[in-house]
Amino acid sequence: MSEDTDLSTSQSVKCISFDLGEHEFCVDIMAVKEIRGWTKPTPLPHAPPFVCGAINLRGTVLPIIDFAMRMGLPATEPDESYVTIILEVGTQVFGIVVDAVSDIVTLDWGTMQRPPELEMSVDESCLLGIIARDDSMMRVINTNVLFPRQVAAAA
Amino acid sequence: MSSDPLDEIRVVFFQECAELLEELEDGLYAMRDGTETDDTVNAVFRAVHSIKGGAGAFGLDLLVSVSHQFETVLDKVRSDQLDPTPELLDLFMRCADKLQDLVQAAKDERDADPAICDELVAALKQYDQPAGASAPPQPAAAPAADGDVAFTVAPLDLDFGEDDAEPAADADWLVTFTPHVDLYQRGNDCCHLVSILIDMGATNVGVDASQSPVWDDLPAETPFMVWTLTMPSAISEADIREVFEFVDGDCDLKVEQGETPPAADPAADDMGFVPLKLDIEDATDDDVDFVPTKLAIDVDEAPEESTAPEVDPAVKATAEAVAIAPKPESKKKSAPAKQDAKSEASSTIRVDLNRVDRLINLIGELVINQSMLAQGFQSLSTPVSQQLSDGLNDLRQLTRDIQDSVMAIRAQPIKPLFRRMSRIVRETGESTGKNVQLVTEGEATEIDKTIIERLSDPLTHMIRNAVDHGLETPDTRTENGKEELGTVRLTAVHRSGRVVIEVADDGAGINRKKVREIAIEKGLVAADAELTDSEIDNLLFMPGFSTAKEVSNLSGRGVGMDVVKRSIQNLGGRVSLESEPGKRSVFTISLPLTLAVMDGMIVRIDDQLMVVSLSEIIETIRPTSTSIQHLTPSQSVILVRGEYVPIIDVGYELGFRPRVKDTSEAVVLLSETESGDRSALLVDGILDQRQVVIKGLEDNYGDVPGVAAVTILGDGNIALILDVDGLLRLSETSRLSTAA
Repeated sequence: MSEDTDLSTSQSVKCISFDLGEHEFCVDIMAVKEIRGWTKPTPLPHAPPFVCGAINLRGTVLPIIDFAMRMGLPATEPDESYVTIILEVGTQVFGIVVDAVSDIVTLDWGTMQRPPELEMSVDESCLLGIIARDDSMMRVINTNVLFPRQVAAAA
Repeated sequence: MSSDPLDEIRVVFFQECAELLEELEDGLYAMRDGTETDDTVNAVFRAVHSIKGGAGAFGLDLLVSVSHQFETVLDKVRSDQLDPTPELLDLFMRCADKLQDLVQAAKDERDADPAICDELVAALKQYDQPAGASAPPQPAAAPAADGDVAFTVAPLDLDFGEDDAEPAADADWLVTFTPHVDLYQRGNDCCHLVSILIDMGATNVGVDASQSPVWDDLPAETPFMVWTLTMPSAISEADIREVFEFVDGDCDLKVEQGETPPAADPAADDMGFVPLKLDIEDATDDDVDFVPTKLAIDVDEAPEESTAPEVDPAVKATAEAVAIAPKPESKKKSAPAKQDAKSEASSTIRVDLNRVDRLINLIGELVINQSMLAQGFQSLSTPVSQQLSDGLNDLRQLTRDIQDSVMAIRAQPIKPLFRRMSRIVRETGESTGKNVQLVTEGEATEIDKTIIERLSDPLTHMIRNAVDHGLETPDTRTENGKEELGTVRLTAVHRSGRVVIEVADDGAGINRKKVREIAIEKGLVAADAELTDSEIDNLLFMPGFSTAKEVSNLSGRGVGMDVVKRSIQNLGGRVSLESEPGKRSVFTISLPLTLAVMDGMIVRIDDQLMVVSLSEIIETIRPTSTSIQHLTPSQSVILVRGEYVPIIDVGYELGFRPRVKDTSEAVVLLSETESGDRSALLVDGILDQRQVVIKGLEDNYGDVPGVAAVTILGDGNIALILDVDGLLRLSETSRLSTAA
């Protein structure tokens, strides 16, 4: 078990939350480099289906992931109204396409629960856990496994 | 890691070593070619000396012992006791090579082989002996052989003193030495300097303490005393000054020939000199153990001092004092030399390569951004004002200038690479028993640092080939009426935005008949193939081709010319071969100036723009309806001048679309792959040909088969740069899987 999945520590973490269909997700704000409008990526050959392609972010070439597809949901058909969240994980920088960014929320990591196994529609491996918030459920993304470096080689 | 201060010093030491070794080689070459100046020998000596000093600090005993012996012999050349004969220079070159090996070994933290060192040291000692034998035995000279830096330094100065005895002067030397505050601050000590002079035979030591404040007010860090020493006339002025070499600029030093010993000098009495009688024997016994140790520390500091940025007035003062001195020759040589070294040091700075690369990346962005801006204005519906369009033009010009200047930072002269090759020629010549000289031209030609680094291996191989296979044996050369001395010519020149490097030998040329036979025998060409001379020559680049009957351990290290060709292609370069039987063979390498940009052809595949490196395209063909033949559903070929070339459908191989059925609108790019086979890339159209900035995909994504890198187009979008060899591999795999 890595540190990221250690649920016992109680700490407040600022997260950026976003919607995807009727689901609500969030990602640790420390991993977010910037949020920008959607631009059409250049398709990469032989990429996994959830990789939309690559974009140019001020000279850095970044792969873009269709977040919905990565989560096992139907693929998005993004247009200009969509948003790309640029994440920096370790030395790797990549973007995820989401419907819209909704809020910055402070979550208590300590109340995180393991995702229930019954929620079949979402690929659980990409979630750190879920946190109950008011009457909704916040899914916390595990950025480390979202886009493994070997993904291109494995494809 | 970098937290260890010693590691940082190590890094600096190796950087300096690299520079010093280069300086050393430069000097030796100048001496060989007869283009040396007065300062050349001094520069060579200083280089070896500084390497020794640094090596001692790191306990690199082998390096110290070789450089010490090297230095001792150099010193004799410097003081005109030895003539730099070709044999001696040859030995020097080998020593320089060995020093380089030892430094490299130390850098890699490997153990070096002491055998060759011993051999060299022994060879050097032979030159050392005649003069050394005449010198009286020195107390500190005996332990020199054990390689301990503390002791190896000592005989240098002491030997020097005795060997150099110049009989001309009759009057004794009067040495007046006034230390400055800096002298103490740099960790030097008057006591030791005086002790050395006493060891050298000072007959009288005086000290003027009249400037000293009373004891209570005496600041311990400030020297107040002025020393006066009388030295026998048998010792040369240069030797006396040498003692003070490491405190140069930190003291006032006067070396004069007095008519009378200072004790009887009325002026000295007036100045309040207190004659100090020291027992010389005692001083020697007491001090000999630690004096050399102190000296070793001085030696370590020497390089730093000599590169101090400001030209100290004391240097000038020394030079002036020398002008009136009776034996000025040797000092005159080294005084301007020091000033040269100082001005050189201030004209360059050492910068971390990462910083430069970051700057280059940023400029790359600026270029892309500028072209996006320009494109944006072009697409504006309203007309742009004159002022704005002028501004945009200026911006474009400035951006281009900045880009050129920044690229120039990464550009380095090719000289170090060429110098390394001269060593290869020397070694290969020795082991093949051939008499070879390397002639280089265009050493100042500048090319990207990375290219220089990555060119080293292929060029080494080509040079070895030229000596091993290209040149004939001396006997054969004489028989054929040629000079026994073979020549390998290495030239670099800028030609239309590229660097062209030629490796030419005046050997037997390519035996085309034999090459052809071997190629047929190895099944590389059909027995009845009609080949032009140049086609036969270029068979040498085919994989699995080697003309040497036995694989010699020199050029045939399991790699052939095909590897050379591939590594040059990987650098975006091309290599070709020309030969004139019986006269010469010339390999020509053409390289881009930088790896950051390349000339590319922008092609369209489906709705995507992609880039193919121009260096990989031989020609472009618009196929006619009959020239493309479908052999199987997964294999088509195109007929190019009687030869069937397999077609690679780029769009299909990259997985963007099914195979193209209708090829009437398509364009074919004919390309040669690393195996020497030709293949034809099928694309939908050619749009443009332009310079593109190369961007890696590996950092954030990973390798993509068939894609070498990406670039950013003027509209800010990304275009893939195709990897032709990768595409070929892809097409082979997909064909096999279809067949299965």
